[in-house]
Amino acid sequence: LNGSQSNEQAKALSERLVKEAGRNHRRQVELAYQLVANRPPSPQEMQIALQYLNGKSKEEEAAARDQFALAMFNINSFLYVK
Amino acid sequence: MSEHVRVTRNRREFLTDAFCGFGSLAFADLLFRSDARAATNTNPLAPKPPHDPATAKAKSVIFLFMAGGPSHMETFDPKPLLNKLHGQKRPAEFGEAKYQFVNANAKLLGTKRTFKKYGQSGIEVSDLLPHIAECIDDIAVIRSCHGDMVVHSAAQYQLFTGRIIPGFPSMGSWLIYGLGSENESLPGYVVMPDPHGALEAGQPMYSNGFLPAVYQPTMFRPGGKPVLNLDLPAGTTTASRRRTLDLIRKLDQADMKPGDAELSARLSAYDLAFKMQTEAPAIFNLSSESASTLDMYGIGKPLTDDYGRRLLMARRLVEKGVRFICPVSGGGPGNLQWDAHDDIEENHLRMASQTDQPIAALLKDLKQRGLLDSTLVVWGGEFGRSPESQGSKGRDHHNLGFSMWMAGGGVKGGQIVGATDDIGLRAVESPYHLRDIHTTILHQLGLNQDALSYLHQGRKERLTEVQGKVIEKLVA
Repeated sequence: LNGSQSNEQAKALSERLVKEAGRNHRRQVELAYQLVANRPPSPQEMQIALQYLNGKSKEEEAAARDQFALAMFNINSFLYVK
Repeated sequence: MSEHVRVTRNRREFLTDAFCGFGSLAFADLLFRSDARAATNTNPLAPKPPHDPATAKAKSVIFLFMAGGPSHMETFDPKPLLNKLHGQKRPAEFGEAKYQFVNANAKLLGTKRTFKKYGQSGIEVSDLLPHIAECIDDIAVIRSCHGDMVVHSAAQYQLFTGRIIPGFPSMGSWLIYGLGSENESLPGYVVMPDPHGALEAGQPMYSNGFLPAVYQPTMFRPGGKPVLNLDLPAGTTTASRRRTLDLIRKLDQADMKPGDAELSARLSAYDLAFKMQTEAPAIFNLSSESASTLDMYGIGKPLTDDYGRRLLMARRLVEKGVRFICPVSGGGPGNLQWDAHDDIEENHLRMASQTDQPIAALLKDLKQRGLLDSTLVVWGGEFGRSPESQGSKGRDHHNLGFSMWMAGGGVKGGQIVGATDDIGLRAVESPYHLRDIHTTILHQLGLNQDALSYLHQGRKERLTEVQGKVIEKLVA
């Protein structure tokens, strides 16, 4: 979580989410799961992610998205093959 | 053999177990019920009681590894006869010895060091180690150590694992396997290598061997940041990190099937990681130590700064309940270890000047904090050095007789145990093999060499392989 590489990659993913999915959080989460886990998010995952991303001020929004991207690199579906 | 009978955890394992005999299923269940620890605590590093609480004087061990093999004749084992016989061949009555380099024609080499009696006990210590000499009343010098190998790597394996080949668990791994770890947010077994580089036996001498991977050592890096990536990245606050971890946990829980024990273990690992991130950096920050403490360890002085920092860190880790800590003196090319083939004077003066003051500081510091009684400090290398000279002023490896010492942890200080012959060639009085050193360390921690075993390839392996002796004179 603290390594420079994972944080740089998270920032890159975060920027890509905006570029390809726009400002819509729902579409950002869908794209993130497609890219990272190669599957759509479950309704429950979508709800948790939206809860985290929604309701942020303009200043906080980018930072929250970066952290969401970092979290995506640390979820089980990404780290482990089932 | 409980370590090899697991409770069946999922369908695949159930089928495997079923094919391999239903009997083992029932047996696993019985074992699960009978082992109260397994039922209540699945953390393999949870603290465990010692086998024999009565002998458990020490809780932690600091092994001051003098890599390369310090000379006993220049440190703790004065040999006046050696100086008299300087330049002559070894008299036949002392018997034979096999060395790595020096041959039968080599001449004996007297020492330039002078010895003086120190403390109440009047034990002689050489002028190479004036600071350690001041602590001699807390130290038990074992002058009659011996091992089986006369080359570095095999001797280093034997010193750490009891075996002369790699693949066996080191004593640090055995200790946390036997006793667990007292601290949840720090590793239980830490190695602090010398910044000059690796040793002949390499990483396998410190490793967990066939013990489960949780018992592996944590290797600290040299310099001010022993563990990488402990600090939060710039711009990340503790609160925001907590929120990110919560997000990961919630996302993983949403993706979890009911009863997935492995995943729930991984989820709790995030809490541990968070604890480490919040607590561990403070351990590495020596600025909370007083100026007089830093001075005592020689921190800030070029010769002693690095080793002093590592020993002060060792004390701080002991305070936090870390079980086994191994600061290494010597690394990289032989002459940057205690491996004085070319010039015993130049090499040992340099190595001693880096370590003498910090080691004495560690002993005094532990003592004044009341930690010495529960911390066993062990000093020594994988072997000693030859009474004969290599070239004109160096000494070769030598495994037939050499010195180690122990302090604290219930060991009776201010005494000499055993003796070598009059030229320091061979341990002749009460000889103690490296496995006896291991047995004694285990004994001081309340561990029994037979009970501390692990079934590996059909054999109950243990640190001491064959029966080791407790050094009775040493354990007060």
